[in-house]
Amino acid sequence: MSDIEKYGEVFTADVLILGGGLAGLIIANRIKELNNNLDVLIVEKATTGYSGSKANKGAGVMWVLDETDDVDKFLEFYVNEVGHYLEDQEMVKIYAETSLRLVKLFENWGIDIMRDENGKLSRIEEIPLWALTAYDLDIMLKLRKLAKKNGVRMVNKTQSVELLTSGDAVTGAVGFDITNGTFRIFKSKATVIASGSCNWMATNMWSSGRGDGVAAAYRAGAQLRNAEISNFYNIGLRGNMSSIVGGQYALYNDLGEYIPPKYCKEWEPDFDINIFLGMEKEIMEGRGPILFEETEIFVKNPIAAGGFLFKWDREWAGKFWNTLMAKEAKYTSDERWRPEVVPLFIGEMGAISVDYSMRGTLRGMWALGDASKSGSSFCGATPPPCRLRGSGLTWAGVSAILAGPSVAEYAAGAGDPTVYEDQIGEFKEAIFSPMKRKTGMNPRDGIRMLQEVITPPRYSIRKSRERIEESLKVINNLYGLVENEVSPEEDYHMLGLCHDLRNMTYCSEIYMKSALERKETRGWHVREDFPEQDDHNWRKWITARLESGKLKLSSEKIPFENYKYNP
Amino acid sequence: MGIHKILIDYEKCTGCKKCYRACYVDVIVWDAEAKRPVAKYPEECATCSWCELSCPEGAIQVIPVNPVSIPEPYPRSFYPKSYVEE
Repeated sequence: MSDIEKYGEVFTADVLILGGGLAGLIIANRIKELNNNLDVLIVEKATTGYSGSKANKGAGVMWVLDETDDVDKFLEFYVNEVGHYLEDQEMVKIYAETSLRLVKLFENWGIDIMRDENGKLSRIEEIPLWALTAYDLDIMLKLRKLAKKNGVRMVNKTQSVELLTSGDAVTGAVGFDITNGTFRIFKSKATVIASGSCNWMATNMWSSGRGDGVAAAYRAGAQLRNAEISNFYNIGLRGNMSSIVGGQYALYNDLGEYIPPKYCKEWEPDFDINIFLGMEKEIMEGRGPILFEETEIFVKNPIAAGGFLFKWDREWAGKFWNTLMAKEAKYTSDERWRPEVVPLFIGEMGAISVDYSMRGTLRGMWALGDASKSGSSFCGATPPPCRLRGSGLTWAGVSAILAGPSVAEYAAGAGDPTVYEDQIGEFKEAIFSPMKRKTGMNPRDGIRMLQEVITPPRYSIRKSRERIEESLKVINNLYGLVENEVSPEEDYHMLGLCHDLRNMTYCSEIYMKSALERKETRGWHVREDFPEQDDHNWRKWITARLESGKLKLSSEKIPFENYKYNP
Repeated sequence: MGIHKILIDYEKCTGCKKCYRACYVDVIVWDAEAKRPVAKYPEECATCSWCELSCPEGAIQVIPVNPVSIPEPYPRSFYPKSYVEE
């Protein structure tokens, strides 16, 4: 505890929020509502109110269970179709019951939510178990404006890299300005990670989720959970990054055969792993490529192309989607009748282990939104969005609602955070060490190396020991390259990419080693070498923690004695 | 294969900084001397077009490139011979 100003700019806050996306802005506003005396600071790599991968760059759809829905029926569906007994059934119930509170919170804050002429949330006949509603895509700007009004401070263009710790408590974070390299030290009583999941920069919309918070929490000693279920895919046109929601019902093989009946149930709320296994099988057996027939997409699929959203004229969503679709038509559209489609890797490695208040395993640390969606054990054996479109945005808000009281209470009661000069010095040295290499490997090439061993279906859809080990070989090699070869060439944006690569390398190792550990097939975790669901040995959560510099995997008992549904 | 293009019309640009703030992946940087945005890192562009939508002057345009370079989902060695030869 001495003069830390000599290392860089110092900020102090009662509540530090890493990430100014949807979850970050909601928790910031909630904390100020709960206790206006608390000093809340958001640190964001881009600009708070514009950042985050999905809130203002997708359909703005929210999954909600309203007053008319039956929580038990929903839970039964969820256990069988989503979690395959790996979900925390209590967490799913809490989430379901809290989702309507989020709608009301938004409406209180002046954010319009789609309701029908009777004031009810939108409902789709084919999806009887939950409501699907939406907001307009200027939501982030509204939340930012509210946060400013509430006195929330914001530090933008700052990449937070490491968490500061004192014993088993998180007491802040350090990072740097990606525009000019200024080193920044944040001291905080409570620290909330809301910086998204790791998506390996593979697909456009998810491009900003680079695992920063997940990897930083892991390096600080926090427990991760369910990392093996980090393999969400969509279907998309080859060469184009547009996801075709519901595309599983519009697929043909090269012989002109309509393939969904071979691999899909008659009705599915969203993609299942079987359609991706089926696409690969068709190709392996010589009936590829897989082709997309647009006219089929509306036949069985109620949420295809956001069909229900057409009922609501939204100014910002209209502008956004009309612009994107016009560009697609002009520049990238595949004009062939039945163009080729491929699995689009999304990822969603958000494995920070949290309790029902979104509290991590380190004192003073919470994780919200995508950063903890798998780690909360909400998702079970299906990666986010858990076959519930719109659950990502809802989760961002629900997790913020759940965390609010415990963050506010902790921050109000905690003493001044202890930070250590030697830890800050070491972090600073390590963060800027790539700058010492004037030339070297471009971090983009390293990211591509990772994508090559994470995103193809043979690594993340149909796994085997042999291929996981192949992937881990490259991942191990990348640790060395990150340490000794990768160079930002004196550019701070590129230094940011060096850290993104480092974080993604950590996430890759945790993902693949957890996947190697789970020796069974369950939900989206498919092992070619262990093709059966093994309830005797694997009805438990796999956890990961950094111990003495090494990844240590353990398992955690699932409290079935408290649950309604048992295998 | 190629990199997405971000075109800025400096005749129209008034330097309001909205596109710079709107970019969530640091493609657009701010030239403090010229007081104008520069699309310095198009490699990271996710073609979300929020910069374009945010510009009150219509001075910025994102042109996506197709095909985007992603790892081949099914490498040719994985395809049956009949398909590869085709």
